[in-house]
This record gives sequence, structure tokens and C-alpha cells, in this order.
Amino acid sequence: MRMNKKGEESSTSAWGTIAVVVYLLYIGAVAVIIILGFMSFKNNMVGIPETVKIKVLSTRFLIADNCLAHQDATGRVQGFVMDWNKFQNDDAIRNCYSDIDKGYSFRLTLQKLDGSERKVLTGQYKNGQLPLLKIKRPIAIAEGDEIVPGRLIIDVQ
Amino acid sequence: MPKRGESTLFFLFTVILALVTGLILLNIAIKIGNNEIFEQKNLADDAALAVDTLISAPGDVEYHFNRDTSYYEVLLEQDMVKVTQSGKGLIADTVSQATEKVSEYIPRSRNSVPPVPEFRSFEDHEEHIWLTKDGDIVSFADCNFDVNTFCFSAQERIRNQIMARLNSEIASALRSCSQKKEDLCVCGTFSTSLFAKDAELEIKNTNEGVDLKYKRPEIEIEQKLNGINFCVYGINLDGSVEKKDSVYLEATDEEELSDIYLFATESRKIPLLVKSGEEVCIAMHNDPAQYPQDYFYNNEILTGIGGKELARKCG
Repeated sequence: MRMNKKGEESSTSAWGTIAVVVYLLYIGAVAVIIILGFMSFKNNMVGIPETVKIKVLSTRFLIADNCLAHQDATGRVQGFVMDWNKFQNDDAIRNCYSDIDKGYSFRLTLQKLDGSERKVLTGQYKNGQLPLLKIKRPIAIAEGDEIVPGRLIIDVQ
Repeated sequence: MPKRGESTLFFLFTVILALVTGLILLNIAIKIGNNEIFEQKNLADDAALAVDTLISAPGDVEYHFNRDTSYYEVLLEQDMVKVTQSGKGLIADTVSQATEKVSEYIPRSRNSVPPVPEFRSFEDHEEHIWLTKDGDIVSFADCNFDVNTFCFSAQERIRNQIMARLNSEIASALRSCSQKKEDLCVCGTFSTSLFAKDAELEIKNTNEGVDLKYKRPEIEIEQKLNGINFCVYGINLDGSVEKKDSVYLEATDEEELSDIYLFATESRKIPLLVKSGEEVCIAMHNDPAQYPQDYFYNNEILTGIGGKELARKCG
């Protein structure tokens, strides 16, 4: 009969302890993953739908002052009347919507019925990428004193 | 080799650390179980959406954020709303930080939103808050800044609502009736919606006019209508009338006015006001055994038992 070497028995119990600790860590990790998954699911359930957020944000371009909507001589904003001149470059849209590295990005295409169009982009919109959502709506366009019918296409990324 | 006592110290440190960690995890688990974390997330999303909406609105705007946020700290930063549940001490503070919920909004420009956030602490946070837009500046405000119909306690608000309804539903009916010139005619009706459970209304004639005293648990409202004489117009089975100076109206178990004050129409039972001489009276049928259906108000004529005509509508 072979005698245990000195320390062999305590070595076995040490391995057992380590196994229990590893097992507990494993159970803990699984529990954390399940809880985080559940929280993520429920957070989405109580959250506000993406389309609602996008529509609220795109309203800014249509009615907010000092944005893309036309303002008359008194400074009053004419909602849903786009100012053709503010679509010459991206300055106006970037002054009222500052997407630095998060949130949705927008490209607005304003089309007149004669086929001419102008596009403006917010800071992070990437022309090469497909949009997440496309909204098209008829709209009035103001150019100088003249107001003509047109169409606005909003691409969202 | 560790010195004797060092291992004991290490053991104690481990136990304390384990206890603190356990308490923090337990608190977070309780918050998840109570749905508080999800409410915080929803609140943050809601507030951020409201900020986005306000930024989109032309002109200056005040928006009543119609939720009780007083359990939370609501912090408006340059491009985000943070919602935490504050507390004092290591554990509460750690739990608060771990459960903080953030929702982003998109400012017009990174410089136009106030760099110093409007901060409302847990202790001084009011139940009702507003979001205000003043130029390009969006911030939170509460009743410290503004006093309007929302800036009352729930109790006061209910009281104000009842007072308004008492005035618009009952006092105005009595006033309108008192304007009628004819004698002995049906001059109107009034809404019985105030007669909910445990609610009672005393209408009493005095030398100056009519006293209305409305009571329901924890709320008592009195109103005086000067220049109006009041009576109770009690109709007996034979059509004769007995008058009284005051009446005590209360809801039945079915939460409506007692049947003796109600008269049948084609579709429902209603109370009636009768002009009698200079008095505005609430009509009642004196015999409790009689049903409202025995007293019918149809085609502008009030009839009693056997179809006997009792009064017509005032002109």
C-alpha cells in the first residue's frame, strides 16, 4: 500500500475549493447575462419607438425657428414652408441640429416640381450608406416672395 | 509569512467587502423587481423626447411634464437627460450611480444649450415640473418659478376642481333658475356627478341667499349664492306640495342621488328644479315608496301619479 505523500491530501481539497469557486463564478456570470438580457429587453419595451423619435427630430427642420423653415419679414416662422435659400449649403441645418457622434443623421432633399433640387446634410450623414428610413412629403417652398409647391425627402441614418 | 493577526484582519476586510457588495446587489435587484429602473429609463426617454420637441417648436414654450418625478433626480445636461434615484451613504450612492439612466437629445448646437445644467435635487424637487424654452435655452422649471393650476397639492387640486364643478353644475343651475319670471314651472336640472361615494351636499336657505355645503372625506367646500331664495318642493301623492328650507343630498350605495329627488324622462332619471314664486326649489316626491317612474317629465310637462299634471317647463 502506497502512503500518501506529504501534502497530497491537502492538495486535493485545495483543488476542490477552486472548483467550487470556479463553478460559483460560472453560475454568477450566467445569472448576470440573463439579468442583463432581461433588462435590455424590458428597456426596449418601455422605451420610445425609434420612428417617434425620428419624426420629432425631423419636425425641427419643418417648423423650428432659425432652421430650414421660411421666416417672413417680421421673423415669424412659416411652418412647413421650406426656405429654398437655406438649402444652398449645410450651414442652416447644422446650426439647428448638431449630431456630433451620436443620434440620427439626416439628409434633406428639397425638390421643386420643375425638377430642380437641393440637398443639405447634418454633420454625420454618410452619403455612401443606405438610409435607415426615408420620409417623403409634399411641402411648400419659399424663394424670395414666391411660394411654390414641392417635395421634401428626408433620409435618416 | 504573514504575521499572526494579519490574516484575521484580511478575513474581516473580506467579510465587510462581501457584505457591502451583497447589499448593493440586493438593492439593485429590488429596484429591478420594483420596476424602478425601467421607470427611470422611461422617464429619461420621455424627458429627452420632450426636450427634442421643445427645440423643434417655434417661439418660446412652456411644457408641463405631466408625471410625478419627485422620486428622482432629473438632470438636464447639454445633450442628455440623466435620471437617478438619489440617496445618502456609500451603498445608496453606489446603487444610484449603477442604476442611473441616460437618454440623449440633439441640441441645436453644442453651445446654445446652457452648459450649466438645471439641477433639481431629490430633497427640493417638486411634484410638477415644466420644461421651458426661452430662445434657444431649454431648462427645467418647477412651482418655485411659476404658480398656476398645476402648482397645488393633489388635495388642493381636487378641492379646486370640485369647487369649479359645484359652481358650474349646481350653483349656475340655481342662478339660471332664479332668473325665470314665471311661477310654478320646471326651470332646469343639474348634474348629479358630484354625488360620489361618501359625498354629501347640504343646500340651505338663509336670509342672504343659499348656502351650499359640499363634503366628502377630507374635503369640505362652502359656497354662498346671494340673492336667491331656496326651497325643497315636496310633492305628495295627491299632488299637494310641502315646502322645506333645506335639503341634505347624499349618494346612495349605487353612487347616485336618492330616488326621491329623481324624475323619469324617456331615457334617464334626472333631478328637477322648480320655480315657485320667488324661490328656486329642488323637486322631490315625498313618499319614498314611489318610484321616479311614477313622476314623469316628458314633452316639457311634469306629471305625477295617474298622469296628473304638476308643472310645465318655464318659458
